[in-house]
Amino acid sequence: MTWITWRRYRVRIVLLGLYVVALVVAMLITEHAYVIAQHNFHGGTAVSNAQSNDSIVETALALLPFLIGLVLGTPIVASELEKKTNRLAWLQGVTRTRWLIRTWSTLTVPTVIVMALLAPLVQWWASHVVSSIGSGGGLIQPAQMLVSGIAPIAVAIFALTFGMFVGAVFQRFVSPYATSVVGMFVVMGLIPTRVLSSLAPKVIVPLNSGRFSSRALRTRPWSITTGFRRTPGIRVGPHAQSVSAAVRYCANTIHWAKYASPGSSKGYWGCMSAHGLQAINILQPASHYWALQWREAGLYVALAGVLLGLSVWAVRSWSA
Amino acid sequence: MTTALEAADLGRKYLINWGLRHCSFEVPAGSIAGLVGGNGAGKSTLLRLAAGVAKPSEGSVRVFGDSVDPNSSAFLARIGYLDQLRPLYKQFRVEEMLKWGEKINRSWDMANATRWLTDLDIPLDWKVSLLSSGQQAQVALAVCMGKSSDLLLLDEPLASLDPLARQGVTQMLLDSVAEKGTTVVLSSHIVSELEPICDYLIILSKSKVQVSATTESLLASHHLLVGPQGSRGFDAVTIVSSKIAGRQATLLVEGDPGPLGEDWQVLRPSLDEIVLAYLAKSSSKSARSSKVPVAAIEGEQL
Repeated sequence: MTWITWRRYRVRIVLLGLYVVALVVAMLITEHAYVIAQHNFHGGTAVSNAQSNDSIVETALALLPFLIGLVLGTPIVASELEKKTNRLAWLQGVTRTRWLIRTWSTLTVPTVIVMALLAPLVQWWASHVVSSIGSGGGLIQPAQMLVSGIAPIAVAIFALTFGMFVGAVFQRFVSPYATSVVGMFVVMGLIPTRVLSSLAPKVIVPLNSGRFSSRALRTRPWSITTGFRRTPGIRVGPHAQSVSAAVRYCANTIHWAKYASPGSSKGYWGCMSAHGLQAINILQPASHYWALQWREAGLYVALAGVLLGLSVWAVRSWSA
Repeated sequence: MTTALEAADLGRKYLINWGLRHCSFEVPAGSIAGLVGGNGAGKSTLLRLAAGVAKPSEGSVRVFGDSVDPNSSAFLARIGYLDQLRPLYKQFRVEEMLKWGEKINRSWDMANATRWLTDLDIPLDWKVSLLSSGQQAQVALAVCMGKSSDLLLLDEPLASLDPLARQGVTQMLLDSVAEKGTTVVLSSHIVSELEPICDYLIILSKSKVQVSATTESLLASHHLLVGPQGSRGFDAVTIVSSKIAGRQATLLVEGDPGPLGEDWQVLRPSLDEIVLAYLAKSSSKSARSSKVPVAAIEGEQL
């Protein structure tokens, strides 16, 4: 089966290999450009140029699992069904289950190896270049969580399996390739924005408390959201039956005069403070990076396992 | 005698239409069974059900006594299936197609598969996509033959071949079967193709089995009666078809008509005539009861 899979996918594998090589070269070039910029100009325009280049490479890195899913995963079953070669392959000496799992694993193993070899380079590049000149912070930021650490390995396994699953289940109804693209964007968009921040206990700190604030980008926390909470032990006024009622009351500029000079934002904060409300920041500190990485990776691998099981079921129950 | 393929009240429904229904027959092991019928008669459906490519909507089909299970390696090892669409990996070279067969099967006769193609002058180093449709059909057949299975299910294997290739393939099929004792079920709507090679015949029409029997018993039990129309009745035989031309009636009957007198000639029909008679019988809207005396169908044009 290894020869069969290689023979069927060799052009696609070579193309993906070239994409990976191009990524490695791009990372080395942007790193070099950054070093030159730092050395010669001490920041400024040259660093800005390096920054724009690094965001292109970051996007290209984030697209790698999508391409793996689309180029290798989706055709596993979709191509067979489309060209009717399943009526040849599934009638030979190996069962459909064995055929599917052997094909999937023959593509997954080298994918994992390549992604694992790429991971230290990306980690070095991301922590060195992106965390120094990138936007907003260090590796804990969602955009960099997606490309750095061990999560991309799991994302690639998920994408490959997701593509295969879509091909096995939806081929008869819609384009499996278009469905794979849309589905992967939805899943890989939802997990970083809706799920990832909850995979480790969040830390709540008063706004402007100075805790977790760092001048170094790479140690800055991931600020998930801001809000208000009641300050324990403070007697609340009649306008603060609930946090939202107090926020609404204090947002009205008419009331600010009671708490500070009119037109000054101090009136707003004074109002909030008088009603026992404290502005807070909900965040994931940089120290949670590896915990989040492992849990995110585990989540993607678990999803891939479920999709593999569903793909086996779909292929076993296929009937002309 | 061992039964290679057995169907019991087998049926397959596609949405609202039946592709096959109330299909029952037994193909003895070691025989070459021809599956004949017009377009849409249910030949491909029957072969797909036997190969496990499709699932029955009712009834059952068994291969060498076991239920058809496309997820069982034991079942897969025993059958070879050639789909009507001749699916092949078009980007492979012919020799890679054979290598593919070797890698995906536990048992593979590379010498047989290679000989099959070299005897038919198929270039092994050509890409499959560059071959003609007839040559592709031969490659698909070679892959099927290389598997060395006990039961070959071939859906119109001779359809896209030229007459010379057809003759070559037929002979090689016969040689291969004689050598290994394989059971073959092959479909066609050209009876003359099947007559020289088949020893068992299943006639399908309108999604139903009309006849299933050995060719020997079919030829022995059917007679062609030619005589003056309206002269007498035939209670002892089953009339399969009747044709009136002027004052002469030609009947194809099943059973022994016995002595008929000087007015009537009793002839031996060919397999082709028997098949056509059954196909015409089932497709005729005014098909009558099989025990109708010829006197009662005077003037009928079938």
